[in-house]
Formats: sequence, structure tokens, C-alpha cells
Amino acid sequence: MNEKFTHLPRAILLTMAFYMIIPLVFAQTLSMDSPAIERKKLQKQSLRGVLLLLKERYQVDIVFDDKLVNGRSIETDVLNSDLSFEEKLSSILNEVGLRYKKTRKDVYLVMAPKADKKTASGYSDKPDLTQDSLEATANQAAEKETFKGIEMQVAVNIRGRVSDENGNGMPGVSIVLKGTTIGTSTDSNGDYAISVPDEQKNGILLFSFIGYTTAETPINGQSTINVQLMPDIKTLSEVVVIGYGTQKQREVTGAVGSVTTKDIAGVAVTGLDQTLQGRIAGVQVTQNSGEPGGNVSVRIRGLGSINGSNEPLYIVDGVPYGSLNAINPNDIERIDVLKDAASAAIYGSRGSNGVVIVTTKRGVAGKVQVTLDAYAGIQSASRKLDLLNGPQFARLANENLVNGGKDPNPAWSNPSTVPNTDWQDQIFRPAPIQSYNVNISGGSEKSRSLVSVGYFDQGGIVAQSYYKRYTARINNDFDISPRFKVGLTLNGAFEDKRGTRTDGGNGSSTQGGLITAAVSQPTIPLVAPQEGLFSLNPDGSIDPTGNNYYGYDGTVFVTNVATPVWYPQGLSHPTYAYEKLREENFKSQEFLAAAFGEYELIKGLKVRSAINLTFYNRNSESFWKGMPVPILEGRGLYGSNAQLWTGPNQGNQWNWINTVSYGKSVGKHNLTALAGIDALKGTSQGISINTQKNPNDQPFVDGALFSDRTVSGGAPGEFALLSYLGRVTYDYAGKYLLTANIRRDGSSNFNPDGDYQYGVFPSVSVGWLMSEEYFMASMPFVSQLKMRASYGEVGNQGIPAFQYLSIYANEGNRRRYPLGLNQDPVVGFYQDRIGTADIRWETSTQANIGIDAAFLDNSISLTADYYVKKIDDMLGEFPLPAYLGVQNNRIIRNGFSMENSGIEIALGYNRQFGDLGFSTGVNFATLNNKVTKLTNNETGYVSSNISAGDDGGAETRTKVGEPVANFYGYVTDGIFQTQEEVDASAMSGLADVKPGDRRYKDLNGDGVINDRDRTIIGNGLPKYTFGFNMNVNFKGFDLSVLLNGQAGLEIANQTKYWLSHMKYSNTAGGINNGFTDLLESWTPENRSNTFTRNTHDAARSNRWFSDFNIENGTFLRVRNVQLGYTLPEAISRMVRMNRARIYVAAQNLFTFTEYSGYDPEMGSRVSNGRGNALQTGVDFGRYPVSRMFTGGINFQF
Amino acid sequence: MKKALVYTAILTLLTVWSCKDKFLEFNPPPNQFTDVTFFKTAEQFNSFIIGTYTELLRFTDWTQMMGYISQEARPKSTIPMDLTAYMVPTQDRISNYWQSMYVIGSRANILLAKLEEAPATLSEADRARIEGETKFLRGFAYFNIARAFGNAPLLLETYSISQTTVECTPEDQIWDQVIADLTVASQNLPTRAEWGDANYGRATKGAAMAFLANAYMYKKNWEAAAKASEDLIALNNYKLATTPRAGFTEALTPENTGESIFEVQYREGGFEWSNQVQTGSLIGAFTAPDGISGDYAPFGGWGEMVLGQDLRNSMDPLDERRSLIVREGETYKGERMTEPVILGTTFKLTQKNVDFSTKYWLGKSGDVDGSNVPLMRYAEFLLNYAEILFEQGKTTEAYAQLNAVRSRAKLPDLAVSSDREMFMRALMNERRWELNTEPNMWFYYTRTGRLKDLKDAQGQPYDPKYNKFPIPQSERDQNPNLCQNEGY
Repeated sequence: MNEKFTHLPRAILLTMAFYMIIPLVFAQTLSMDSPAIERKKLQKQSLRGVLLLLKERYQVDIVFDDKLVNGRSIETDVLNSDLSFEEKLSSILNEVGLRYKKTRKDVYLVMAPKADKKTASGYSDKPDLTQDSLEATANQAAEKETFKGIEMQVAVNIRGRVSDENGNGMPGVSIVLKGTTIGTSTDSNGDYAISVPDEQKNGILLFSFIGYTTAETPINGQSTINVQLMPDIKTLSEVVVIGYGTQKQREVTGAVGSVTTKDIAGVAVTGLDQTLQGRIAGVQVTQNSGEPGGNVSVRIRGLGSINGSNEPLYIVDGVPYGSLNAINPNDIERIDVLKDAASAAIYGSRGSNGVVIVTTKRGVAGKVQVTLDAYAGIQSASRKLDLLNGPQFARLANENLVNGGKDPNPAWSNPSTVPNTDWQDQIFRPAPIQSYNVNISGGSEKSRSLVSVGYFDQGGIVAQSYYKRYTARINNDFDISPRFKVGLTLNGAFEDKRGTRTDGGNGSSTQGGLITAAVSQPTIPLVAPQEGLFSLNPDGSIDPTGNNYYGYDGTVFVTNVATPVWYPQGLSHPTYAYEKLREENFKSQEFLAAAFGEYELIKGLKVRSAINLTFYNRNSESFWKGMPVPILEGRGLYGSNAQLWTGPNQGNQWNWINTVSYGKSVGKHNLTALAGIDALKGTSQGISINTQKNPNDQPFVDGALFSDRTVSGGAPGEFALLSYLGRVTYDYAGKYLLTANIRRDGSSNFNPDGDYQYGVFPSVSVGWLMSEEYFMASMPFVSQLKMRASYGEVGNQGIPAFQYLSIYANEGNRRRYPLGLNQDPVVGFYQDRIGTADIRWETSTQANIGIDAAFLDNSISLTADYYVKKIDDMLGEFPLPAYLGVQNNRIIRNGFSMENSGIEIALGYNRQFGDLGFSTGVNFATLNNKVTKLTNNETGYVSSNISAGDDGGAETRTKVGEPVANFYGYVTDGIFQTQEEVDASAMSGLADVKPGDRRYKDLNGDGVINDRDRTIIGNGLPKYTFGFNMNVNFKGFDLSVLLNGQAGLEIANQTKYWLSHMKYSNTAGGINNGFTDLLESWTPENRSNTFTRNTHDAARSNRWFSDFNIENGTFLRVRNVQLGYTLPEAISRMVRMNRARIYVAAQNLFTFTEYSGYDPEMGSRVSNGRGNALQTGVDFGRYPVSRMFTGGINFQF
Repeated sequence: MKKALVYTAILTLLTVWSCKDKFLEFNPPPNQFTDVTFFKTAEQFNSFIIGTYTELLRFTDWTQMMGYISQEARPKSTIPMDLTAYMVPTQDRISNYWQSMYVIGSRANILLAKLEEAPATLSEADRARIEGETKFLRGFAYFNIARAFGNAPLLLETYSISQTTVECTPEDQIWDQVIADLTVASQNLPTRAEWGDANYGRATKGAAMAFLANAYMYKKNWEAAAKASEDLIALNNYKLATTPRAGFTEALTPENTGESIFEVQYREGGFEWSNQVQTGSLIGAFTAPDGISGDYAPFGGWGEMVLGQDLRNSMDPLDERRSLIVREGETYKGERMTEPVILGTTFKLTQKNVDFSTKYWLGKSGDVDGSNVPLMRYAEFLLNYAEILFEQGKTTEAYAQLNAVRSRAKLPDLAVSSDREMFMRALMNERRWELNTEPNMWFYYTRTGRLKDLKDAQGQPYDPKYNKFPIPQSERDQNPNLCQNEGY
């Protein structure tokens, strides 16, 4: 076990104890009364501090207006006198000319001198307001505002409407005439009316609402004042959604990050996972593929598993969701990310990778509002590789052949006349994007609805790819009685995606579109494929005899010789192959119906029951169209036959959650408790069908399809999770906070025999709201200050089911045993996998300490966290001695361990300067990932093949003491300049090595270069991630900017394997295109220490996987820039709109990086629908993220 | 009322899932056989037994490896020739042998464990047969392990993690287990006739007896060895074929006739590269001269098993088995036998003056690569029996068995003599002439302590450690508790 971590729990306990003890010490100090001390003059004390002290000591509420109290001080020490509390208070206030009023038992209101009262006879249409609001305020103890009563004579009537950031009327906004007790609030439409005394007609109206910035509007004699309030994103009274409930931000003791609807408005994203990109410290969002609808990976506080799932748990309106794209991002109200174990523990065995809680918009009472959001735009590739053009290629290609002792190709002999096709231009194309959303909201106080319909259509910038989505959602809320609430949600989504393969993949194939385009000879003329048939000569010119064809996969081949010769061997016609011949389709339909009922049995005791049903139907198919040319011998699988792989997959899931919650306050003790049962059951059924040998490319509809098919799968998978959960929160006076969670999970993934199915996941977190302490009173610039600490345990059960059972499989076609007189092969069975009876979830234990602070009237906010996350019992393959006779000599067991630790900082600034609103935020996170245990064998490692071909064994290795998936390869040592250098080197024994070839370091010093000279040469996991956002609004204009980036990582650029060399195959035409770097190739005359010689017989070792392939993966990307203008209401009203905003936006506008490939946002290679952690940061020609320009509207009717 | 409501609600919530155990219970997907669904029928047991036989075929080194290490045969290229290079703990061929034998043992353990849990519907007859065949396979596996490695792990239970740290079991105890298993097998297994045509190729009662007799020889329990041999003869299932070739190749269609006791089954034409179907051997190609075209080996001759000329030179000119060996430069069935091409520049050893064994060449049928590999045939059984009888002092009977094999090769009978060394040398020569390039040859030398004689005759260095294979290093890396044989 790691030494450092052994001490960690203790360190955390100490820290927590420290946090708990400090307030106690203060309390103790305060209660040491000294009754005998006489009144005497002391040093000046701030009035505020003294009042807080009194409040503390006598356990009463003293409510005061900061403006009355701040800046005043007293000199008399009455505190330690033997006066009663009221006498003390009176004495203190007298000293500064104030008085108090006892509004209730234990509630005292500090007021201005009585003298004022004489001139102020209450004038208000709501004479009780002062009293009511003060009492309400006093009850809340946290509010510090109070108002002076002022006498008025003549009234001025003012009317208006208060709207929110979307232009919706805001009910319940309180409006107060500044400096008076005159006030009112808006009605359900957001309209208000107020009368102010004539002498105040140039006064100021204060509009305030919890969670929104308060607006101060001068009356200036106007009779109509309309105001728009903007959300106060950093206000600590914000409510965040935690598991199975909500909590006030100020009371949150775990590490929770949030994104709200206004952050994501107008940003073109496919799924809600992308909306998190760059927004929250410690949440890394990467598009594993830039294709429309492509896979996105979200890593909360780094990798959570090596072999299991790394994706967080997504909870949408309380329902666990697998298919994020089924949620229209436009429907999202807010997203809360539970980062630490203490917050996620309420989700037990699914919380290890963090939890993302999504809350969708719900209907608002009032008249029906229709919102239309739409945007459309154009996307393009943001970068092209720097490749040789036709003439350059022709010259270098023949140079390559001649240098290699081969005859030059006459077709390339005159570079100035060769064709010049830019295949990158052919494979990339501008692509449109559009999105339309209509949102209808309305209802009565007791019945509210929201209906939303969306259409999203994104074309792909590579070949034929696209993604389309149709969504519809209905959210209904009914208040059957004040105690009985019912809600209903229906959500449906259709997805239609066509992908394309860009990735060259493992092995020697160049079957990816981008790589194929890049390596294709620019001297092949661009001819439009006609019905799949066109004809070329070996030199690339059009063959009028029609004997040469592009083949099945676009490969150019020649048929007019006895044995077909591929030309250029193995290369495909990029656009033809990827546009016409292959389709990778994905279609999905998904439905959700969810209902909940909540009943308040007695005050504070609520029972809630929610049932959620989901159903999906997904179909992935891969379709290779046949070529209508004769079948050629020797083409094997790739004849002219069409092939189809199709895999319809259906599933459903129900989830029933029952909870009881109770909240009670006794004095300053506030307690809430929650207990519940969560049951979830799902089934899925999938099948995969492969058909081939079809006569042409169309008949997949008739019976011929199934004449030669293989069907596999078809098995229903079942899954169940049964959980018992509980939470207690306790706080004292809103200052000392405690939350404890516990969950017991039972999962059908594990062995029912023995104690394997159930596990318990506890957590505890504490917080101290220091800013509520009296001693903070002297620091008025501190608006909020909270210290937090948490510790908890969560699990990851995202592993394949039934691992505890052995699987018996037949040897199929591979191995049979010939028996009987005729020796007919008989298929036997064997144990394909040995059941691991004790297989369990992976466990993660996390400790977190953090601080939340806000300064200068909440205009500056800071959140900082430090965490250590230790993941144990990770699933891994354990090698076994061969004598056990276990298949592959491996077994999957729990037992790997890993540790993540890091610091997360989020800084915000938010301020209104008159008409200018400005807010900005920066977040930054560090991540230190380290494997702490792999197998019982210390020298062991986990390897993953990332080879692009014959590159000497490119792999990632994961070793103890190192981060996951280090790149493992050779270390270059320049280029051999002379034959003497070659002869003297450790590479002299290798084939074909000559001056001009790459030299590698003999790391183990054994005088030979072989695979033992490889070492760690990089890692694809970022050590630093960061985001920056800024919002400015001025009058009707708004501007927002979002940047994100990562640093401290490398990318293994495997496209270099193909593009740094021209030899594709041994044949004369076997030349591929490459980087323009090849122009600077090593020659005896022009020696280089970077570029190897350009010759057909160059050493194969030049292509070995080495630090030559490794590049810095740091980038900073201007993710989104948006400029909007909201039409003046006067104009929008004319077209019967409440609000009309138009905007233009640019996405992925610039990327600052040293990386030379298409896109440094690399992520992990996707296998089985999820990013493979062991193949992170490897570029085989990944689909790059597109640059996008859009224009859009937000209209509200 | 309110309270009652509250309590009822809470109680309901808490009791709703009182049947929690059922809630999490699922049947695994029916498209896969698991512990829940497999080993329920005799057919399933049968198919798992066949899967176990398959391992005999997956180990592709029966002839090559055994031929090499006995130094009767040599490769043409870079595969190590002499025992100093071959007998090392990192030698792949040795670890492949180790692994395959243990896979058979492990699969047999699974079968036996599952047989105990098998449903009552499995008939007694099926149970007995399954147990017999399984114990034959396990006995056979440990027979191979004990004679090659000596002390080694003996595992009789299915996998558990504790097996990763076991220590070696003394060789003697392994032999006891082999004898126990083969004894049950010899009682429970059907004879060839009882198996019927469809099951030709599977282990029989006779096969169990032959290996049982051989196992007793390791224990020097000559009485029991003789008893097992007599039982086999009493079955009256086996006889020597009329000619040496018939004892080996020409009679192999249909195979498993009179002389064959137990063979690795390979299928004619059963090697398809594209599908990696491994039901055919490549022994014909291995043993044919390099460059021979189609007729002897559809995959060409590779010259990977060439014989030294000393073997044929040592044979009596009358010996019909000489015709099974063809010399470089001679013509065999119309084709000139060529010197193997020497590959690579670092391998300087000349391979001129070599012979080729034609044992595995099925003639011009084009089906060369279906040659079965005999693991025990009647000629070898008789030579074993001769040794057993001699050890029992039954000199005359011993020579009778030896002479039976000789006379089939058209050699004159040897005169009966009680001279032990004379008999043993005669037996060794006879084995060499009869059984060269066959899998058991090497173990005869190590069992009888005559490896030194062979090495001396070949003029090659000898080290006593060669009498046992080294335990593979990779295994000792995984389990440091494992023993290693002396000298390694």
C-alpha cells in the first residue's frame, strides 16, 4: 500500500476535527463570563461585532440594517456587565443613537432613533409589510436587511413588469422603494404596481429575487418601469440538486459543480455531456470523435477504472440514463455534477466516476409562453495536413524509387505535367448544421405544463457523415392539494446517424478515410466514379479500354494481367471508398415516461414515490456495398459481394424510487432526514447479423439477404439493482453543517451465492460557514466563507454481468477433433471463461477538502478543492501459471488499485456597472493519476496495442507507480550521417540500416537494438485542464466567450507512421503521399538530423514507434464565441413578442497548440461504445472537431 | 389517523422489497452455456470430452519436439540442435508441452467435478463411461508430465486461487495417481468394438491398459505391469500389421486398425490456413525434403525433420524398415531427395549427408497432412512387454515379444539369452529402428537410463540433468514455490 495514503484517512479526520473544534473553542471563550468586572472604557469595538456577539451569547436574533450599523463603533464595555440582555442592548444602541424594537420573543430589530418616526407616518398600501418582512427576515436569521419607515404625503403610481433573463414574467419579485418600508411584489405575470410619495419620485426602486441580482432602478418620474433581472450565478443562496433532493448551495458540504441553462444557450452541442465542456473544474469532457453525434467521454476527477466504465452516472430528473443524446440540450434547466465521494455516495455502487444530475425545464404558471430557439450555420475542417502536391510528389516518388534501386515511373518523370489532386479537399467538405426548438410553457398555479419539441441536424465535414435528432418532451406538474403534488414527464427521441470511418486503426491497414485521403497519390486524377466503374492505367491516367477498375473498397486494381495486381497495392480511392461504398448507420428510438407523487403527511414529513419507464430500440449497421465487377480471384473477403452487419438491439428499464423525507428545526438545530428504496430492473435483447455473398448492392430486402448469413447474440440481458439509501443533514444555526449518506446496493451483476451482491457505501461531510461568525464582522468585504471536508466510499459496478459464472463455448470452426472411421471433425466444448465467484464492484474512497468564498457583495467568488481519490478492487486480468489450465492463462479479478489526486479552483467575478453587466469565470484543475497495484507481480504491466502497422510494436504500458497508459517505444538519437556511424552503432546488425536512417538509443546498453530498448515516452492523460468564460451585456447586446484547454500530456501521432515515409509496398507503384517534410529528406549532400532518407529501401526501423511519434498535446481552444442582441421591448412588443434576441456564434474558432495533426482533442479510442482508457491520446487519423459559424434567434411570444 | 397513515406508508415502503433475493436473481443469457446450463446432459459431457481431446491436436509438437530432443532428427534451420540449447527453462517447446498436458488435466478435473453434481437423469452407464474416459485423459496427461518433468504440481481439483501457490508433488506420488486414474479407465472404458465406428479415435479400454502397463514400468512394478499387459492381450483387439509400413502409414486408411492403440487424430485435408482449422497435421511437410512439391506434401516439403545417416547405417540390410528411410540424393517414388536448404547466414551447420523418414508420407494421395501420430501402437506395446517379462525373469517370453517385432521387419530371431545387457541393448536398437521419430522414444532413454549411451553413440555431450525437462521459467516466475529440476 502506498505510504502516503495510509496516513490520509487520519489526516482527513484531523482536518475535520480541526474544523469542528475551532467553532467550539470560540463558543467556549465566549461563555466564560466574568460577572465582577465593572463598566469601563475599552478600545473601540465595532457595533456590528458587538451585536453579533450578543446574538451569539444570548441565543437571540438581532436583526439590523447594515447601513445603520456599519461604520459605527462603541467604546463602553457593557458586554461583561451584569445587566440583562435587553439592558445591554439598549445601552449599546443608545451610545450610537439607535434603538431597538422587540418584534417577537428573542427577535430584536435595530432601528433608527424615534425622532424619525415622528415625521414618518406609515404610508403604504401594505402597512404591515415592514413588520411582516422583518419578522420573516428575522425568522430566517440570515437576512440582514431592514428598512426605515418614512412618512410621505402624495403618491405617485408606478406600474411595470419584471422579467427574467429569458423575458418571462417573474412572479414574487419584491420591490421596495430604497430607504423606505414601501414595497410590493409582482403578481403571477410579473406585473406590479406601487405608489411612492411624491417627494420620492426621483427615488430608487429595488427589485430583488432570490437567485437573481438585485436591480436598482431610478424612478426619474416615470410611471412605467419594466425591469429584467439576471440570475446571480454566484449567489450562495442558489439551490443545487443533489441525489434524491435539493440543498441550498450555502449548505452544501460536498464538492458539487453546476452549469445552468444560461451557460449553454445557443451553444451547438449534440448532447448534454458536451455542455459540461470547460465549465467545471475537474470535469474533463473530450470528444473521442469529432463526427456528428460522435462519442464523448466525461471524466470527473480523472480515470476511475482501467477495465471497467469511466463514465459518470447520469441522472435526468431522478432517472438513471444511459443514452444522453436522447435528451435535448435545450430542455436542460441545470446540471449539477457531484464530484466527491461524499456527494456521490447516495448513488452507491454507481457513483465511483461521479454523478451528473440533470434537471429539465418545467412549466411555469402564468399565461402560455411560446419560445422559439433556432440556429443554423456552416461547419468546416479547421486544419489540413501539410502534404506534398502533385508535382512535389512526382519528383520525390521517383527519387524514392531510384534511390531504392528501382526503375522510375515514367508517369512521374515530368512533375510539371502530372495531375494535382488534393485528396484532403475531397474528403473534407463544408457541412451545414441547424437546430430548431419550440418550447411552450404555461398553466395555472395548480397545473403547469411544458411542451418542448426539437430538431437537430448536423452534417459531417468528412465524407457522408451526419447526425439528426428529433425530440419531444412534456413535463407536467399538478398540485392536487397544497400537500399533494404529482408530476409527469414524457420524453421521446429519434436519432439518425451516419458515421464514417476515419481512423486507420490498429494493424497495417489504412482503412480510415482521413488517412487514406492523406496517403493517396495526388497524381491520381480526380475522376467522378460512375456507377462504381471507371478505369485507370497503372500510372493513374484514364484507361480507355476500361480494363482497370477501382475495386470493391475503392482499391485501384488492374485486371488485364493474368494475376490481378493491386495498384497502388492496398490503397483505396478515398472519396469513392468512403462516400459510395460504405455506410455506418446508427438509428435509435428512445422513450421515457416518468411520474411522481409527493404527499406531505404531516408538516415536514414527505413521502415521495416515482416510477420511471424507459424503452429503447437501437440499430447499428455497417453496410459495404458490392462492386458490380467480376469477382476476382485472390480477393478473399473483399470480392464484389456486398456485406451487411446489422445489430438491432432493444431494451427497457423500470425504476421505482420511494423516499420518505423529514425536516425539522428546533431552535437553531436544523435537521433533515431522508430514507428510501430504489429498485431498478432492465432487460435488453440484441442480435447481430452478418450477411455477404449477395449478388449486388441492393437486395437486402429480399430473402437472398439471408442465404448466407451468420447470426449471433439474440440473448436477452437482464439487470437489476436494489438499493436502500439514507441521508441525514444537520446544521446548527446555519453555521456548522453536517451531511451523512449511506446506501446499501444489491446488484444482479454479482454472485448470488455468498455475500457478493450487496455492498454498503457510507459518506460524511462537514462544513463551517465561517462568514456567519461574529469575528468575521470586521471583514465586511467577505460576503461568504465556507470550509468543507468530506470523506466517503463509492463503487463502480459498471462491469459485464455474470462474471461469477464459468462460460462453456464450443471450439467452433477453429478446432475440431476428427473422430470415427471417416474422421469427421467433431466440435468440442471448452471452458471459455472461468467464473470468478468473488468478483465485486470496484471501490473508490475519496477525501475532499474545500473552501467556498465570496467577496465584495458576492461579486467575486472562489471555490477551491483538494481531493485524493483511491480506487481499489479494480478489475484486471491476472496472469495465472499455465499449469492451472485456465483459458488464456488469465483470470479477471478485483485487485488493481489506482490513485487520483488534484486541486480544483474556480474563480468568478460578476458585477453590474450601470448598463454594463460583466461576469467572468476561470476554472483550473490538476490531476495526478498513479497506478498503485496491478497484480501480485511487482514487475507486471498491462499492455495495449496501439500499433499502426509494422512499427516495432507500439503499445501503451500501465505500470505500478506510473499513470495509466504510458506510451512505450524507442528513443531516437538523430539520424545516421555516415556508414562508420552505422557500423559503430548498436543498430549495425539490423537489416538495411544505412546513413540517412534513424538512430535509436541502446537503452539497456547490450550493444543490440531490440524491443528491450523501449521505454516510457509519453502519456495521453492531461495533468491540467482549464476553462475560461466571460459574459458581457450592455443595453441589448450580449457577448459570451468560452475557452477550454488541457496541458501536461502527449499525443502519439500515429499518422506519422504513414506520412513520414513514401514507401507503401514493394511494388513500383507502391508509393504513398506524405508530409512536405519529405522535401527536406536526408541526402549525403543535404544532411539532416530530423528527416530520414527518401528511398524505397530505407530501413524498416525508421518507422518504429518512438519519441518521433510523440507530440505535445497541450491546447487552448476558443470553444464558443457568441454575440447577441435583444431587441428593445418596444419593438418586440410590436410583433407580439415578449422578447426577441438574435445572435451569431462561432464554435472552435481557434485552437492554440503545437500538435501537428488534425486535432489535439484526442480522447480515447472507442471500443464497445466507450472510450478505452488504455488507448488514450492515440491519433490514427481521428475525425477532427469542426469549426462552426452559426446564427440564431431566441424568440418569446 | 395521520399517524396511522404515516406508519402504514413507511411500513409499506420498507416491506415492498422484502423479497429482495428474488429481485436480483437472473438467469444468465441463454445464448451462452454457463454453469447454470452446462453439464446437464450426457451430450454436454461428451462434447466437453471432445474439447479435451482437441488439446492433443493443439499441441503440434508430438513428433517434431520428441524427434529433436532424441537427436534422431534435426531441423534445417535455426531451431536449436543440441540439448544444451534445447534443455533450458525458457524453451517454448517445453512450455507448450507443459501447458497442453496441464490443460488436459484441468479439463478432466472440471469434468470429474461436474460429474459429481450431474443430474440424476444421467444414466449409470454414461457416468461410468464419462468417468473412465476422463480419468484416461487425466492419467494420460500426468503420465506425460511425470515422465518429462518428474516432480511437478499435481492438481485434482478445479481452479481455485490457492492453486497459484502450490508446490511440486513428488514424481512417485504422481505415478500413483496416474495408475489410479488409468486403472479406473481400464475398467470403465469401452473397447474399440464397443465404442463403434462413429467413435473410432477415442480412448479405449486397451489404450488405458497399455498406458497403465507403461506407468507401472516407471514404478518398476513388473507384476502389475505384466498383469495390465496380459489384460490387453486378452482383449484380442490388437495385432501387428503385416509390414512395418502397414504398421504405420499405409494401413492408416482407415486408421486405428489392428496395430494402433492410441493416436492423435488428424484429418486428411484437414488443414485450412484461411480458417485456421487445425484438424490436420503438417507432419508430412515437416519431414519431407525441402523443395519437394505437391505430391508428398500439399504444403511442400519443409525439411524440418532430417535424420542423421547413423540410424539407417545401423540397420541390418535385411531390415525392411530401412525402406522407410530415404537418403538425400536417392529417388523416392520418382522424386529425387534433395539436401535441405540452409537458411540464414548465421546458421553455418552443414546439413549434407542426411536421411528422411517417409513414415508420415502417405504417398501420392495428396493427403499427406492427415497422418495420425501414434502415441501407442502394438509394436511399442510388445517391446514394453518384452522388457516387463525380462525384468520378471521370463527370458524366453521376453525374447518372443522382441522377435515378433523383428520378424515383421524380416529380421531373424534373436537367440534367447539371460544376459541382461545384451537384451537391453537389443531392445534399445529395436526401439530405435521401429519407433524412431515417434513421440515416446525420448522417454525410453530417460526411463531406462540409456540417454548417455545414445549421446555417446551420437558423439554429443551428455549431462545427467537432461533426464528431466526443466520446469518452464515462466511458471516459476508466476509461482516461486515451484520446484526446479536439478541442474537447471
